Amino acid sequence: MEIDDKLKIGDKFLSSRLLVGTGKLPNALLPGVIAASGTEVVTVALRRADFHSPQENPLSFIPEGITIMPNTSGARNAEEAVRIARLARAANCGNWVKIEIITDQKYLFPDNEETVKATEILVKEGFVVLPYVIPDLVIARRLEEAGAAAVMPLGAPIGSNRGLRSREFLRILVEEIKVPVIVDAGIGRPSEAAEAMEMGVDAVLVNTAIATAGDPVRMAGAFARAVKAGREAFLAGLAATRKYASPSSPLTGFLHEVKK
Amino acid sequence: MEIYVNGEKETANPGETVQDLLVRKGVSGETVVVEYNGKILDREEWEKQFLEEEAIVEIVRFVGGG
Repeated sequence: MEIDDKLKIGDKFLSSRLLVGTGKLPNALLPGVIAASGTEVVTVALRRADFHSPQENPLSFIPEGITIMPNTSGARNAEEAVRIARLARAANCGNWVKIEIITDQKYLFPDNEETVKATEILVKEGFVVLPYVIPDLVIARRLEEAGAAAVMPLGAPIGSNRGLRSREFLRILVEEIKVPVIVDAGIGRPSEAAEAMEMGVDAVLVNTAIATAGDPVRMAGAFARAVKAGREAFLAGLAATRKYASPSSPLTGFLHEVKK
Repeated sequence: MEIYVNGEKETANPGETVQDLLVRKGVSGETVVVEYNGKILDREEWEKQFLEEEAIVEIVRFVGGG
């Protein structure tokens, strides 16, 4: 891998292009998953404290130096997302935020318009804003204009492990959007992460596919290698596809040839 | 005096502060953020803010999330 192939988001330069979500993972597995994934950015959520069954803070299982990106899950509109982002920042773990505004409970599709509003407000307040969106070029451009540090389009619904269903639209974002494009949601297996990276996506965010794997630590390692392979393939420049066969071996010197 | 803590109605004692409430709830201060009547309370304010009638207190913490 090229030494200077870093991903710049906000004021940070990341060597790893795999972002990891900590949902559905027992805290005890966090250090192993984070180490195996090589990730430098993990997401967390903010919830009301449960006084009846207190839980340990996942942050105490996340190694020093890892960027914490709280999400605004639970927010149903821009106002609620802004409130959650401010609360998260008050916990003193940085100014990154993943905007996630959801009203649809079946497909958990994000509300793109409210997401633009929240992005505009939070960028002005000094947050490094990474909005989770349905891949729509017009919305992505608005987010870019609003100062989003990246855009995070879905590949398929959250937690569905259905892969890059939105690939044609992702391709358009990769082509047209200047800030990093990070595929968030839907990636179910390492080959899909590799495919996203081959397309020129800047990074991927994976949670369910790792957290609910038979062996999450091992799967985190598999994703790390797939993301690297996909990135390398993109940088190398994929060979062209064609309709008909093109021999790999020379077309001369065959044994059956007889000169007349 | 009645207050609302994380959406549930509770009785608070006169003279109790937000800090007292956290202790009573068994919450370790390191891990939570407190919002009092819609405003985020800095840690230093926890012991200065007395609980008032009908106060809305939100005590939030991080959990795993994607």
